[in-house]
Amino acid sequence: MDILSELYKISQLSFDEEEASIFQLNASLRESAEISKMIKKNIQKTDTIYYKLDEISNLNEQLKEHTNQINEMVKGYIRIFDFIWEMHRFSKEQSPEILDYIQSILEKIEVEMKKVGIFIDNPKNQKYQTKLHEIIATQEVIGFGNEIILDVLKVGINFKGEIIRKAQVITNLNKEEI
Amino acid sequence: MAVIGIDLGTSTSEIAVYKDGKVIVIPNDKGNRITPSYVGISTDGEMIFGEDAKSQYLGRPQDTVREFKRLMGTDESVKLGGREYRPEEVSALLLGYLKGCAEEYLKETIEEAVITVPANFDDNQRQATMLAAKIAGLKCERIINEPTAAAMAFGIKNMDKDMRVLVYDFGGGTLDVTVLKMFEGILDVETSYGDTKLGGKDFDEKMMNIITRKVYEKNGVNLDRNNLIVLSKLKEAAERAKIDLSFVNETTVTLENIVLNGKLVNTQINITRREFEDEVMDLVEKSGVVIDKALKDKGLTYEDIDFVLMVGGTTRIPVVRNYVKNKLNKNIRTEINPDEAVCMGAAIQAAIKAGVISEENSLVITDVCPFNLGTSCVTEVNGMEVAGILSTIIERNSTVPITRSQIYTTAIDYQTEMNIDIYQTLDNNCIWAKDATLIGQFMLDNIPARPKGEEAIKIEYSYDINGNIKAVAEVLSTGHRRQIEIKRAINMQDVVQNEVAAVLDNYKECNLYKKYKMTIEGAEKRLNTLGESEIKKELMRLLNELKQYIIQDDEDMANEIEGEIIDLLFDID
Repeated sequence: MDILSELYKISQLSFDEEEASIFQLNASLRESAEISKMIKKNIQKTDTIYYKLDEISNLNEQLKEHTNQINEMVKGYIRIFDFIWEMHRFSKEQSPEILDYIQSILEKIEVEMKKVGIFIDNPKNQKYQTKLHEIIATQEVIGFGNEIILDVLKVGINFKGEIIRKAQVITNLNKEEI
Repeated sequence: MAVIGIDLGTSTSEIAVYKDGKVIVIPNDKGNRITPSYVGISTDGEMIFGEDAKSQYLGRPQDTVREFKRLMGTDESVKLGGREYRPEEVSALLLGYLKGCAEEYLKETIEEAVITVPANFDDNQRQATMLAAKIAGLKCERIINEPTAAAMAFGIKNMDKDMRVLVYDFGGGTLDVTVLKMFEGILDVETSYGDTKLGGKDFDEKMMNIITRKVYEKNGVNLDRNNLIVLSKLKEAAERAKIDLSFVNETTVTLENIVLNGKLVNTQINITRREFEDEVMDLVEKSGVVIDKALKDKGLTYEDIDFVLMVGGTTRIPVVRNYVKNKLNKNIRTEINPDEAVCMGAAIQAAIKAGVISEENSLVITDVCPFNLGTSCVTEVNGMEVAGILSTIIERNSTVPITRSQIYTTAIDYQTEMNIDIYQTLDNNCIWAKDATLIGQFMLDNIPARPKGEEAIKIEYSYDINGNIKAVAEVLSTGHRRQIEIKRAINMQDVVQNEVAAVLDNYKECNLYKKYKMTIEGAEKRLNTLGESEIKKELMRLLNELKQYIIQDDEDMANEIEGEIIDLLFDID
């Protein structure tokens, strides 16, 4: 066995391994640098996300507050409309002389309500519809079809396309038609 | 997959689920946690439920139904949209809707539920409830009593304490009082009593009376309850005042735009809690009578009760709470929302069933058999034989599961058959079988022909935790038995026809069994493939006879019958 040649082989081998290790080290250093850059970027991104989340959270709070204010406004409009609606119903039966005046007030309020997206449903003389109306009572009136709305106790309210109150109605219960 | 709990109530229903360590009450598709128990068909022809169906009920009675829970388990039908439905079918429609709401909320398919029923529901009603769940596509292996569920909602945190609890469930239309016993984590229903005509609506009516009286005192005019607007305002004001007085000692009621003496006026009156309490005291005391009756039924006294659970919206009224507290001189517990306690308990039971809560760490429920179970017999009274007497085998309020038996003897000379009737009744003093409800019957044959009174027949009833009833009749001298099982998950109409083939378990332990094993197994296999026919009946009869002779160790007769069976099987093929 040629010991010298073997030793040479071994020395060559260890040299190659060291060289390979240096290459690997360089590659890994480069990779680490890349990762470090990415981490930095991501930290920046995370900071931005946190900042945005804070902003969203604040906006949500504001939105909630605005929604509450809008709901209160809608409720206020409805309370006023209902109050005058009852006066209107009363004046029709008891004080016809002020009927036109109250009617005009109702119309004015309705116009204002429409501007903010509140729509009134007064379904008198229409056919009852489950999705829009709530039956409070029934009467039997000859000459009217079954389920025709004879009277509206409270009007229906639609806000931005959503029914927030069904109209409370009295319908005709024509037993012969059932 | 989640298992939900459903409180399927007469007037309202609620759903809940146990998730992430807590019970969540699931809102319906309108966002409400309470769903009116109404089913209807809308003007567009769609099926509607809850609030929508309720809102059309008055004017479209032909297309809307409510209170169908009261008809569960009866033969009465419910008319809806020109069609006749069975009560369980309508319940199934509502259950299907509630299932849909839960699926929408949880974003997963729901296939199983635990449903609650009143403690006094009889077997037919419980079976009908389970059938409704099945029709709705819900697996419902467990139904539990409403007070038991309510107590679970409270009791899950108190499983280490051994105590007796009174559940006082005062809802909108009914009052139910139940006594439960908790012992080392086991929850046992001891007794239950109720008043189906006493509820929160009576308190509203009393408040309306106070308002009407005070408005009269102030204005000298009666409120016209025939005027729908007046009535609607009065109802609204009464409900608000009732709620206010649960928190404050005095409240102001304002009635706007009320027509009085031909004028449109606003009127205000003050009502004190004391005035309201004086007005409703008779109702509150009526509830005390119910408590006393429930306790008396089981021989209990106030001292036997450790604390009281308040369930149902009416228990929010302070005078109700204080009355119960003072009457029993016990602590009352009110920490669970009284409207939701039942469905919350059902959700906890559902979680136990699904393995989400381990049974070792939770309460175990035992319920009571809610009625007396017995059979019709002949009894000697003053030297005369009287037929049709009800002989009770399992007594009402016995803790279940339970098995009880009685020994009877043949009533006539050389009697070879005996008709076994299974009756149930809530009446503890029921004497005549005809006054009870017949829930099943079957024939015990092959009684050795001997003089009357010489053959003893043992009749054994079992009632399991799910309310399934098993009745077994056995000729003691021969071991010959027949039995019937009355299961819940089947249609009640099928129950009485559900007589199972004779089961003679004893024959397998006899010496001759091995010799005829092949023939018996082969014949039984063949039997399963046959439709209802005379041949099938004949084969069943022969098989029973063969088993009978195996028990009697009569090889000759067994050989003969075996030959007949083989001949018959050849004929069939």
